[in-house]
Amino acid sequence: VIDIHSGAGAIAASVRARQISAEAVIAAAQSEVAARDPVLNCFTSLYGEAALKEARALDARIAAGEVLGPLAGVPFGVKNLYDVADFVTLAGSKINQENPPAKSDATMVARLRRACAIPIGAQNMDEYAYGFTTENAHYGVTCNPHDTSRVAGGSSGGSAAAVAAGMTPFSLGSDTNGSIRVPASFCGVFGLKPTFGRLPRTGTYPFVSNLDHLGLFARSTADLALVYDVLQGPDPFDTACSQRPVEPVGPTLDLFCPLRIATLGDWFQDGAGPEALAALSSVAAALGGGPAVSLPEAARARAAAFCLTAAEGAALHLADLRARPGDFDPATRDRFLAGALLPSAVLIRAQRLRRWFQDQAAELFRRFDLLLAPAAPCVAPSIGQATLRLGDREMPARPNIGLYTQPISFIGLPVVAVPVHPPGGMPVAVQLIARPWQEQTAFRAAAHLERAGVVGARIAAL
Amino acid sequence: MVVDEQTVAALDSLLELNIPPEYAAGVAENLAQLLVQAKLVMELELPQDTEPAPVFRA
Repeated sequence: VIDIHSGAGAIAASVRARQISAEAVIAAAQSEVAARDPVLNCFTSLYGEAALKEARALDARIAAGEVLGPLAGVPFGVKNLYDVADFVTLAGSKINQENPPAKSDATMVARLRRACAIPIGAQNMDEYAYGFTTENAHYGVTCNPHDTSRVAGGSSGGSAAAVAAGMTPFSLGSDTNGSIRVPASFCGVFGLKPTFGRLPRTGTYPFVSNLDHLGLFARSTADLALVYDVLQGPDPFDTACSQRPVEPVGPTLDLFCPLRIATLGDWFQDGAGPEALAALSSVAAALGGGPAVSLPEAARARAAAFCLTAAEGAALHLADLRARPGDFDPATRDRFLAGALLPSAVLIRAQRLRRWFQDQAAELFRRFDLLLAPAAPCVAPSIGQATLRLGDREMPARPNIGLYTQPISFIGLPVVAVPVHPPGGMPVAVQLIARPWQEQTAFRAAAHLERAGVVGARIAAL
Repeated sequence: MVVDEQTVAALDSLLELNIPPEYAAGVAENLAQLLVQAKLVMELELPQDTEPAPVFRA
């Protein structure tokens, strides 16, 4: 009997031990998708027979006595901005449908295949990753598996929702301003946005090159670590990718030692709803508590990330914005066009502010090992919801969902988003924010919280 | 600063984006939101020796 919900580590162990075949695992995952995706709309394309063929090849290697990689037979999904050989990389757009199929895999997909994982399909997202809701005018909305009247978050919404619905044990996403951490929060799964430059971006469709991070979703810290360790390592073709060697976090998950914790106050709690604050409080208490501290000028840091994103995103798409603006999703088109009109002095100042803000965070990290903040101000909004209530203010929803994530990705800090499921309520996540290159600190804290039962992912019952 | 469809048209003429008139109101609304954020960025006095932080490695 195949338990497709048992997680990446358990599936790989069963396949390697020849208790189940890779083909049966992939077929089971495809059955899950067939049963659930008509309601949820996580996938924009499925690899069908190609994935089964890959699984059969793995089974043949096992039968021949070969020892397979650590993700043997594990199905996964990719946000549709990752190149997968022989398939068109859509990046959530209609325009990219005209592109030829990718000639080769993105580096991260290739590394997963080398570890014997099998991609089963590409997943829905906001057009060109510019959004927090995955309400895509071309490919439809991805529904939240815990309440299908609500959004899954974005821009990696299809990837997070597929994991929350139990279709795949993990999915690849990307995070420029919060696009992994927000959907992790809304869908109640673990999300990793590593340090900027940690994971290689070669073969992925860019958004804002100096802010783009790649990462993933999973339903346990152990799976998140297992996959992350396979993905690490330098990439000569990504100029931002670090030369640091692989620094495995998997072996360190049980090594929890007391950490100096602080909770980010001011901007990072201003307007937060009761669910976000309760989750933050329970996570902080389980980690031994700590003071509330201020990360100075976080509002301006968020503003700088907002401006850089609009302007650089617009610059990337300028030719299409000129030639065929009607082919864009209206929700992204007008923002891109506005970004194209932004004065250059703002962008230079934003880049200088980035350096200054980085120093402010470094100052905090002299006193603390881990900073905590909500991943989103609220639980998942309803599909089509135009505004959010933040404290006593009614604010436009789309631009304000990433309030607490944007200042953190602006300076590239590593974050594990850990999900909290209140009884009877919608999930929310807390950001565990570590020093640059200290992912293992956030991972160890996440594993500790999971063991304590404070955080955890649940497969949504549909 | 008032940002309206005339503002968008004036800026558009510099860049030759040829923004269709039917999009001008939506662009103006987004530009107004963007300029609120830009003001926050520009207001903060930074030390003269704070260098920009774009990413490039040769």
